[in-house]
Amino acid sequence: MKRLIAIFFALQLSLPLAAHAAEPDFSRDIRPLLSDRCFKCHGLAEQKGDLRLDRRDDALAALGLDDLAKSEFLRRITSDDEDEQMPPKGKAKALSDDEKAKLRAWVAAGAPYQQHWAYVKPVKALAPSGAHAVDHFVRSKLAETKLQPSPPASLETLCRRLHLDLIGLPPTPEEMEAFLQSAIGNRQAAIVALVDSLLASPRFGEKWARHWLDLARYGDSAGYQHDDDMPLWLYRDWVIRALNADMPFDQFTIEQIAGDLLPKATVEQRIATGFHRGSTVTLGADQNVDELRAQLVWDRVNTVGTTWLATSLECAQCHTHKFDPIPHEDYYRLYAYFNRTVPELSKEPGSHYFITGGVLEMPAEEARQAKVGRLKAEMEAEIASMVSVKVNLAGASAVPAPLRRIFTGSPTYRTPERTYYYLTVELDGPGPEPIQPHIAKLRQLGRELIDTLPPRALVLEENSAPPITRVFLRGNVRTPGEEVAPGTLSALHPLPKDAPPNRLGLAQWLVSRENPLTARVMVNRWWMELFGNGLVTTPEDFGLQGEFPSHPELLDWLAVEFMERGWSVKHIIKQMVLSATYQQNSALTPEHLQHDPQNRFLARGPRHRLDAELLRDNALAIAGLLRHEVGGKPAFATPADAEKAETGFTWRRGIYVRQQRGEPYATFASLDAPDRFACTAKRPRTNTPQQALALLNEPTFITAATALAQRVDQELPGADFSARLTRMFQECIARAPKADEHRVLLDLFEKTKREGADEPAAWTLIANVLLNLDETITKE
Amino acid sequence: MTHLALDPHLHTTLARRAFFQRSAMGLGGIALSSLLSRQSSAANVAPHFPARAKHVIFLHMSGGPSHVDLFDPKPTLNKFDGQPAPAEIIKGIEFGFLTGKESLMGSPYQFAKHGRCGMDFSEQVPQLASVADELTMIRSMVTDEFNHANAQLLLSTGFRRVGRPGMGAWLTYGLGTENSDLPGFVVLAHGSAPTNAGNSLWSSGFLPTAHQGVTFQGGSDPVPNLSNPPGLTTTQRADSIVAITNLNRAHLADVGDPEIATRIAQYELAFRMQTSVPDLMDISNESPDMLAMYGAEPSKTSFANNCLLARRLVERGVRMVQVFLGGWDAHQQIYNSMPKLCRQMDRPVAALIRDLKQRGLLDDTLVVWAGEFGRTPMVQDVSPDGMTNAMGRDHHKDAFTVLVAGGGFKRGLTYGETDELGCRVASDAVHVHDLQATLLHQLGLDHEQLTYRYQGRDFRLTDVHGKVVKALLA
Repeated sequence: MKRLIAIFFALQLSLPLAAHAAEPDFSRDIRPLLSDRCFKCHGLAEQKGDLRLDRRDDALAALGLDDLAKSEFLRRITSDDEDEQMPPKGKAKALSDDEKAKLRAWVAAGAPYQQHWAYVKPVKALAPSGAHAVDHFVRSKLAETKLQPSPPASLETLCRRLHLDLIGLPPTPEEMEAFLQSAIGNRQAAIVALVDSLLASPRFGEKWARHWLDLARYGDSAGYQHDDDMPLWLYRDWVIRALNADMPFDQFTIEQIAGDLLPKATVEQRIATGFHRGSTVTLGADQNVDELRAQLVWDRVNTVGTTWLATSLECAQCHTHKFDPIPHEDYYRLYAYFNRTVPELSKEPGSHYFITGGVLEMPAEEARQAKVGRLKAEMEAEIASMVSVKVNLAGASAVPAPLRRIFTGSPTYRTPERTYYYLTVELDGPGPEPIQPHIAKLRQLGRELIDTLPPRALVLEENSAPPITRVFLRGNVRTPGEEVAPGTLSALHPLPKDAPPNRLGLAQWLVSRENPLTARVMVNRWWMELFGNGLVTTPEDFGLQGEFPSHPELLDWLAVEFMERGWSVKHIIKQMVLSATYQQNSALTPEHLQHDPQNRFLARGPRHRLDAELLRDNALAIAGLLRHEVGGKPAFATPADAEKAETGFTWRRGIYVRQQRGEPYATFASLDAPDRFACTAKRPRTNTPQQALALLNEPTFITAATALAQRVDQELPGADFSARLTRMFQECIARAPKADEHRVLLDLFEKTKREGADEPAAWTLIANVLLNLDETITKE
Repeated sequence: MTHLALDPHLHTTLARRAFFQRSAMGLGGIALSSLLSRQSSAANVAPHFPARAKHVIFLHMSGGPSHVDLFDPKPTLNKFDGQPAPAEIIKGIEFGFLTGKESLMGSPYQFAKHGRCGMDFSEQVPQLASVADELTMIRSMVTDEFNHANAQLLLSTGFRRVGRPGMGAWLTYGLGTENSDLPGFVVLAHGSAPTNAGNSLWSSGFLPTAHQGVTFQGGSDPVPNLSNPPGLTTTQRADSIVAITNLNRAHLADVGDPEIATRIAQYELAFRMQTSVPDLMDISNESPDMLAMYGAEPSKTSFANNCLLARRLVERGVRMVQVFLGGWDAHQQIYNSMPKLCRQMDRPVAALIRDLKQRGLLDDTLVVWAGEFGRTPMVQDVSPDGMTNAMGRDHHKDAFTVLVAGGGFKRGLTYGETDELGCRVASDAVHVHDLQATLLHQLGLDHEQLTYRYQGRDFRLTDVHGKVVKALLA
């Protein structure tokens, strides 16, 4: 077994290399090597021995093109002498013989340099008329391999795949039946109609917002010690609505980076800037406010880098980037844009920091305002009646924690927002006896107040007197260097003419048609969502250390098409799913396993486990439990959580489950959902025993199994085992059971009953099995 | 027509496992476990040099214990108790709360030399003192961070911010694990605030998530969702997993995706954990003497229980156990809180070292006792809550003490010195990254070679720092 695996692996590695060994391509073969092994010491940041290899002119002398025998470059990389050998032992991975041969061939060919592919504007290569562009590029590449395209997936599989991919929910048996009927004699038209209707569904935004919110490190709490609430959910709803409305991506970008700076900014546009209010930091009482603020601004710069440019800017936070052409100063020019927002940290003497900053209070109708006023007054009165208690409490270490937060926070407790905010969040323990009635009263009033208060949203706001931005030498806020003005990365396109020197200018630069990165980065992400892997497998890094695209022409075609079609996200997704490439059968053949286990050549359709939120949505939808309603306050994951918070419960989609960053929903965490502390471009897709335990035993999935069993019982009263099992299969995996499956499950059903379980319990166990099938939890 | 590859033995096997827990028999079991081990259990790097140790038990005293009250006697500090701290000594030091004008505060505790090696301990830790000859005491530790979360992250993940893998994740990634019934990296936490940085300390970071630390809690579900839901019997669970396996296996035959084979194996491991984890957590089968030595009590949760569990985990081949004891952050009333904590901590840690030694496990196991930083030699007058005459000590990153036992560290060695006040390191400073590099070295790993490529960069536990401190090693 082990030996076989080793062989597969070796073949996988050798295949792409073998095809190109003859003539090295600088972008694909040479620059990655130079970047990885040489640029750290002989590049933009450092030039040891006065040698710089990232620019041809600087490298020529060492390369010795005139006489290869005298080439210092070749001598050093092939030397056996440890003192001479490059890269030096321990500094970088040694060059393999194959790599040395490539470098030699490249020097022999005159050492041609090219600009890094991702920094060159994409150009749309022509696809033959009649052919679907995606298929044209995929098939041309496939022709270079030994693989053949797979046959189309069955209509049932395709229908389920499209539902899961576009709206994140499985088709109901009725939807499936209607689709199959419509496809009789007219397969393609039926598929197009299905795609159109799914793209128009309000569920579309709920599905596609998830991956954007990973990038936006969206959370409902601040994380770290206090993990206070952060009112950001209006922003989350904004994203869902924007995606549903197919807001052009350039506008989508501008509103999130600088919605507040647009002329006559609307409330919605200001809410959109919540994108950058997801940043969070450790809020100890004992921290330097300048450093805390810097951490927030760094996070914003880094998130812009990863989200729009797929560039890890972090390195340039402390020094000039070792690999990518990003000088230290460039980083702080970007920093300067975000250094102009109002500081979001406040602190009263003796208290911890709070995250405040721009807070947008949604308008409230008069009756609501009046009720808020009355409740606040009642709370003030209640607090005032406790003055003597407060005095007694000062300085005592025996104060119960929830009270201490209110009273030692004085004078902050007089600030209405903060008082009420903390009351509801912190008052969760019983106080000592004399205080208890006050607490009970305040708790009740506080809860009522929270339900009455108009929702608020954290937003970006421009500071009227922004501080001067200086480079932080070595990334240390205590060693400020040169002053810098707002500006963009010098290695990329210039700022558009008339771009204002603020975030709006930055946003315009990000979505400028001159930007070689944004459109490529985005289409690659959506491709990854559908196909499991990006055309560039490092969706977080299109820099010199990132992977070369598997299908560069396809990536560029999609990027240009995206921009030409008004940055329409739905248009691009539609292009992808209507391709024959997407619609292929996803089964693996021995040839696939041998030559392309990762499906880089796309000789088969996508097949992978559903993401955390979708696994939950899928089970709840199958069980018929899901309540459909776009948006709203963060929802509790389980009825038990809601009960703890003494509030009602409905089963909402995973996208609405509260993102408590300090204590994330364990089931989602075990299923690879990030904790949302930082921008995440790609979730891992692991396969662990904890996941099995969650899907087998977690109350949500058990509730779903029970509900599914009950549902089938109600829908098919008096039906026999086969009819019921078939219905369950239709709900779970959109097909009928095969004879052997039927037999296995009938055996389980009979045995369970024989051993004492009643019929509903036995059906619940069957439902539990079906909800755990690989086929159920996988998009095929 | 597909035929189900029904395995007539599988059911028996699973059912037998319910009773006899660890048999790996049966057709499915063998073939699929080997797939599983390829995924999550096998080593990803060859050892860089012969390993002296195989396991790590990292006892993290969260909050930062006071070195000058426990391990680092300072007669001069006692002599100048109540005097202002000399400006030249504290110049440039970053404190959490202190203003720099506070007075020195001597330790009220008696120190004495212990063991053949003559190692210093205060009267607060008599049991640790009794195993002095097994310990290496590093009195010259320094860190970069003076806030809990950042300093804990630095100690656990080698980097001050969240997002990097914890040391245990690096170890299971690098070395694999030795028990396919249990995760390779286990976390046990106890105390009022066991950590300030939460699960980021045992995150898998950018490594595959199979390497993240798994927290075992006390109570009926030490691993989330380990128990079957109410009303579901073990037999039903075994039967249902057999059914899932059989249907998945048939589907594997149809669609050929190796991921399905892994999933089959993981469902089996999940089932095995349903037995192996409760068995591990049930310490009632330890002898009364053993329980007394640790001060552990069955069916309770305590630091003592966690120390005993750490031994049981290591005994079962788990690669790294990280045990947290919170509460050391004594900004006020330090002479009230610290003795209580020492009573919780002292006996079980000494018992753990003795127990490992008796079983011959100490040679193979690195036991590390460390806070994320030390505490100031100066008094903290005003607590963070505004309490005056607080009698506390503030965070102190410039000098603190760490203990190591086993795994080829030099026994009975006291290494490094602080100045006369215990304020700064006077000789042989050991940075947190140096400690990490040295621990990895004992596990057969070169801290500069144990790397993982992410976002185009090769990352390490020691970031871009650290050196192996050979003088600490036998």
